[in-house]
Amino acid sequence: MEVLKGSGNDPNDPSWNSGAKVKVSLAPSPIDSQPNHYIREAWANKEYGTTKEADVTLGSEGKKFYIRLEWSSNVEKHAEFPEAAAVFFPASESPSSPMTIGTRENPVRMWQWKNRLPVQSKLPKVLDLIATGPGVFHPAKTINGSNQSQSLQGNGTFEDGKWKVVISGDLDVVVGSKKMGIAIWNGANQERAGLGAVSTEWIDIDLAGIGL
Amino acid sequence: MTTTEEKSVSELHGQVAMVFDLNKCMGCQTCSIACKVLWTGEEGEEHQWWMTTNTQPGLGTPKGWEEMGGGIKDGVLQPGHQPTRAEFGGGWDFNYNEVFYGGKGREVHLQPTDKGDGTTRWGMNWDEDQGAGEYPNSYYFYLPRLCNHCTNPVCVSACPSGAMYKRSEDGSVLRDEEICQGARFCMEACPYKKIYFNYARDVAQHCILCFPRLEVGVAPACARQCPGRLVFVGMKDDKNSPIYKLVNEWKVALPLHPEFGTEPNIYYIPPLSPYRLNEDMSIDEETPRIPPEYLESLFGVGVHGALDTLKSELANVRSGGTSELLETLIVYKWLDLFGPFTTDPSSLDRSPDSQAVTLGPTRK
Ligand code: SF4
Ligand code: SF4
Repeated sequence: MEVLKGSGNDPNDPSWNSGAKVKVSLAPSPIDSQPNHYIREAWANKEYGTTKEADVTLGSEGKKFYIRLEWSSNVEKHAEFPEAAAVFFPASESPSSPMTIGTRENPVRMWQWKNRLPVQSKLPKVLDLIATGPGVFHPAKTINGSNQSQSLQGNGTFEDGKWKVVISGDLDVVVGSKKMGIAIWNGANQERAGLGAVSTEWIDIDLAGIGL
Repeated sequence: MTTTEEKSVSELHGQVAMVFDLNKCMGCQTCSIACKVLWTGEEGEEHQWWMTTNTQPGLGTPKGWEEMGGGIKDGVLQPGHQPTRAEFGGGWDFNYNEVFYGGKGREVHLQPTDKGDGTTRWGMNWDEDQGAGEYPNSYYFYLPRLCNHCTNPVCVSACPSGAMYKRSEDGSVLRDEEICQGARFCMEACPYKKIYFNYARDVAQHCILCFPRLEVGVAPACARQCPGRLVFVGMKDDKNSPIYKLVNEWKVALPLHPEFGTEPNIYYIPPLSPYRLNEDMSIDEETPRIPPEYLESLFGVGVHGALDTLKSELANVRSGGTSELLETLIVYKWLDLFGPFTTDPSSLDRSPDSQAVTLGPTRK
């Protein structure tokens, strides 16, 4: 999909309207791929990954890449588990499906936004993670062995039953990958870790519009 | 005080176990406070009590924890309930301003501020001293509880990110808080419901068996601070330790809820109780006041043999004999409780540049 020149961290900024909005289908990350016996047993007969689709718009400015995600949700704002959303980028040797959010052999770089509670004001809104399976998320810095330079940002608003969230990070990651998956967790349904709704296909990112 | 046989961390290997003698616990909560003061004083930890002492029978903490599921049965991990903030209760704010500075000191009384989330309707010792039974046969006893640092830690098995592990130095079950993503499956899976959630930091937290103290030869705070001198600490497989004898030879120390399947490393000497009184106040020598079936529901079938052993040893001493078991339980010398962990913490060099720092929650 195309990348808009411009935009920014405000999901309601009118400049987003000039970008190409693409509807992405989501499905629950497979129960058989969940990382352990406990989760597979406890959730075998429970519904999860309940968000069916999300609208995606992409933007870029300077060295930054912006992703706006929009999805419908029936959430009370602060359930026990937060509403959350992520975008993830495979290395060029990408696995066949994004549905597992990476595999041990093919890790993905994941930027995860969480709807923070007021008491969590000191925590980052967007986490920089390496994912090797549904729920198998590790902070990128614990794997890279250093504090990497990523400055991730994010903002979310909830209005009229709809979340609008912008996640932004380094354009370099996107240039290296050119593919993206997304995931949404309906916090009110106790969705977290690998129990999210994930894009069923990789999204190809066309960087020609920003001269790359 | 002298320090004997200090253990350095490089020598530590195996499973640290503890035995609580319930016949000596007076429910003073010094253990709970010792732990609270040492480990859970920061934002997000207000409601966390890694060590608690509850009155049995009772609903305990979190409220009704024994019915919340989790554990492992026939090799299958059992789904469990994640205790809610309201079921833990506690961590209250009080109306200090209103009472002390609002000019209403005569009309309002000091009380927890109700935030509408149910947390003021329960707490870590809410049903303290209620117990069960009808006068004059009412009964209760105290049950101190902490994470059991299980041999089969289902919390570790349930963690998707691999943040939790059991380390080989002392068998403590720990969590790398850098990796924990706040998914809380550990809280569901643990049948003892001894894991708390830190909302301010988005991580789960639980008892760390005072591993930084163990590493420098100091007993866990709950054990060392207990005025009842009833908490034994030691290496589980040390055949000369009181722990080994109490658990394996005399078989008087039992795990709590063995049917949960996680193989706890915290053991309890079950409580003896007086006999029941008949209506005419004569003694019914056949019936102990605490129903044996209730104790069996807590400690398994082994509880009957354990109580029989304790009773026959008592009878033996009363009739002039001696009992190594009772001598052990009396604990003439306080430091005999702590196995290799007898170091006095005040004797340690705790200056900032001291070398007596710990490994931290390293993964081995
Ligand atoms: S008591 Fe619970 S938290 Fe502690 S090791 Fe056992 S299962 Fe894990
Ligand atoms: S400090 Fe000792 S006597 Fe007091 S409640 Fe704890 S275990 Fe019981």
